[in-house]
Amino acid sequence: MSVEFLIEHSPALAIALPLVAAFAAPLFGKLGSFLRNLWVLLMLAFTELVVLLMGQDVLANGARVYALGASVPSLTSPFGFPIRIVLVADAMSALFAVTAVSIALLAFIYSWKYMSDKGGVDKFYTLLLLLTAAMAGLCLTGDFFTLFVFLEVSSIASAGLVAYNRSGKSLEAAFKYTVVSAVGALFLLFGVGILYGKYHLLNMAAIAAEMAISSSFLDVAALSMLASALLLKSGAFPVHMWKPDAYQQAPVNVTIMLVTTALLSLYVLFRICFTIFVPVMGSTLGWLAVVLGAASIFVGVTMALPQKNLRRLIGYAAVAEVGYILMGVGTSMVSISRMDGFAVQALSGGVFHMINDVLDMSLIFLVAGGILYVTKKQDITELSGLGHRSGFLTVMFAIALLAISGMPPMNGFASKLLIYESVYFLNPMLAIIGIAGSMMMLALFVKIFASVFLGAPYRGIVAPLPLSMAFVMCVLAFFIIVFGLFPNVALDLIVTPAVQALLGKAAYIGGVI
Amino acid sequence: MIGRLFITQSGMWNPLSFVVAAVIILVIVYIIRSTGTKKYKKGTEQTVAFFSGGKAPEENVHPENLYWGFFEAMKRYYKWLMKFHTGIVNDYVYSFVLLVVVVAAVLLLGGAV
Amino acid sequence: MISIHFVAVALLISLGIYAVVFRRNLIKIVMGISVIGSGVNLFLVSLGYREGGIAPIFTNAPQTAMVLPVPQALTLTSIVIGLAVTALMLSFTIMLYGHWKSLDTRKRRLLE
Repeated sequence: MSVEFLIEHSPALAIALPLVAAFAAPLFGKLGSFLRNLWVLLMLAFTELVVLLMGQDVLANGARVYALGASVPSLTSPFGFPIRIVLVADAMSALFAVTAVSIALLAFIYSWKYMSDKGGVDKFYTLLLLLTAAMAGLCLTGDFFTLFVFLEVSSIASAGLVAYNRSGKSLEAAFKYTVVSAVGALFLLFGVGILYGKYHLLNMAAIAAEMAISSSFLDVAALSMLASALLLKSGAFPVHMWKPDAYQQAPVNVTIMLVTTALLSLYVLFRICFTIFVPVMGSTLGWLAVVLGAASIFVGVTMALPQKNLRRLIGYAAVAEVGYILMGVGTSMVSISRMDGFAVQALSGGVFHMINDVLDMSLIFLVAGGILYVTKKQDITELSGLGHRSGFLTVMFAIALLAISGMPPMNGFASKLLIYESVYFLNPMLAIIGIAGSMMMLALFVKIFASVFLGAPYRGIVAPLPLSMAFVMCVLAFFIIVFGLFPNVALDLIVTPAVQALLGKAAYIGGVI
Repeated sequence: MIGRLFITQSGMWNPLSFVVAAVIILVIVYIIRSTGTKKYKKGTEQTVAFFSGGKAPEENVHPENLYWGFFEAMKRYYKWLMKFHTGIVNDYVYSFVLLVVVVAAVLLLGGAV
Repeated sequence: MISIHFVAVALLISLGIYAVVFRRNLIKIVMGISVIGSGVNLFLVSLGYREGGIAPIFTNAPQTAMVLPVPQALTLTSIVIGLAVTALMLSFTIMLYGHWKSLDTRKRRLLE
C-alpha cells in the first residue's frame, strides 16, 4: 500500500477504517482487553495518518473529489448524471476531518485508563468508532442524502454513548437527545426532499449551480428546515436544551466527541449556506445567524451562572461558545452581501474559533473528568481546596479557563478578537454583548476555580491521575498555548486556506461537477 | 516568529507582550513576597483565614453565592429563563418547531424570495 | 398541482408533531416520531412517482419512460434508519420505566 494509494482513496478510507475497526472491536475484545485497545489505537492512528495525508495533499494540490462506485474515483458525473455518492475533501473539510479524528484519538487514549474498571467496554469502543466514522463522513460528504445518513449514524451512536452509565439520569438525557435529533433529522430529510423535488439533484455543488440568482418559496422552506435541524444538532439558542443534559450525563471522553459533533454540524450548515444560499439571501441569513448567536451567548452564560454541577455548567458555556461562532460567520455572510470587506476576517474568526472551541472545551471537560476520576465527586459544592492536592489539574484548569473566556495570550482571545472587531462594524451593540459574555464566562469559571481548587486543603481521598489522561490534557494545552502565542501561524497555515475554500464557491462547484 | 504582530483589519496585537507582562508581574510578586515578615509561624493564629473579623467556620466558605447580587438584580429575567428551561422533552421539540417557523418567516419577510 | 399525496404528507407530519409536542407519554412520543417519519417517507416516494413509468431494469426494457430510482433508494434507507431510531428509543423507554416506574415526561427531569 503506497502513499499515493492512501492519498487517492483517503476520503473513503477516513470513513471506512473506523467502521471496520468498530465492528471488529468486540471480536478483539474476546481475545483480551489489551489486544482490543491496541487494535482500536492502531486503527485510529492509521485513520489519523490518512486524514493528515489528505490534509497535506489538499493544501498542496487543491480539492479532491471522490465518487463512490466509479471506475475512476474522480469521475463524478458520467453521462451528465449527477446523482452519485460523492465525497469532497477541500481545505475546509480536511481541516475538520483532521480535527474530528484527532479528538477521537485523544478521547480513546483518555479512555484507556478512564474506562478500564467499567463494564461493556467492547461495545463502548464500537460506538466510539462508529461516531468517529460518522464525524469523518459529515466532514467529507458532498451530497445531501449522505449527510442525512451520517447525521443519523452520529445521533444513534452518540445516544448510545450518552446512555453508557445506564443510570436513570443518563438514560433520560439519552432519550431526550434521541427524540430531539430524530425529529431534527426528519425535518432535514424533508428539506432535502423539497430540494430534490425541485431540482432532481442531491449533490450540493450541482444544486448550487442550478439555483438561479433569485430563490423561490420552496428553496426558503428547504433552507429553513435544513438550517434549523443543523442548529439543533449544534445546540444554538432556542434549541440548546438537550446540550447540558447530554454533556452532563455522558462520560467525559464521550462529551468531547459530542462537542466536536456539534461543531461539525455547524460546519455542514456553513458549507450549505456558503455554497448554495449566501449569494441569494446572504444578508437575511447572516443577520439571523448573528442574532441567534448573540442570544446563544447571553442565554448560555446566564444559565451557566447558577448551575451547581460542573459538567452541566460547562454545557451551558458550550452553548455560548456556539454563539460566538454563529456571530462571526453570520457577520461574514452579511459582509459578503454588503461587500464592506470584513467577510474574510469575520469568517477566519469564526472558523478559527471553531478549532479553538474544540480544544478549549475538550480540555475543560477532560479536567472535569480528571476531577471526577481522582475524587469521585462532581458537585462543586462538595469540592474545595483541590489545588493543594493536585497541582497538575489546577494548572490545566487555569489554562482552559483563560482560553474559554478569551483571555490573552490563550487561543480563545485570538479568534474572539477577530470576531469582536468584525461584528463591531456590523453593530457595536453586538460586540458589547460578545465582550460582556466573555467577561461573565470569566466570572463563571473563576467562581469554579475558587470553589474547587482554592481554600483549605481537600480532606477526602485523591487517587493518582493516570499518565495517559495527563498526556491527553498536555497535548490539548500545548495546542491552546501555541495557537494563542502564534495566531499568525495557525491562521496562515490552516485557517486561511479553509476560509478561501469556503468562500471559493465557483472553485468548489467546478471541482465537483 | 516570536513577537510577530498579529494584524487584524483595524488594529494589531502582539501576543508576546502579554508573556512579557506576565513575567514582569511574576517578578514583582516575587520581590514583594520576599520582603515578607520573618515572624511567620505555622499553627499559630497567623494562619487562620480572615473572615470579616469573625471566627472562620470549620469548613470552607463556598463561593456558590458569590454572585448573589447579580441574581437578585436579574430576578425577573431568571424567573422567565427558568420557566423557559423546563427540562421536559416535549418543550424541546416545541422550541425546535418554533425555530423552523421563525427561520422560515424571517427568511420570507427578509426578502429572500 | 397539489395532489392527494401531499395533503396526506402534511396531515401525517402535523399529526406526528402534535403527538411529540403535546402527548406526555414516552411511548406516544416515539409513535409520533414514527408518524413524522412515515410522512417524510411518503413525501419522498410521491416525489418519485411518474405516471406510466416502468421499473428501471435495463435488460429487455421496452422503449418507454423509466423511473429514476433515487427517491425509492432514499426512502428505503430512511425506513431502515427510522427502524433503528425507533428501536433505540423504545429500548430507552423500557429502561427508563425500569428506573422510574413512570412514562410521564413531566415526572422526571434533569434540572440543577
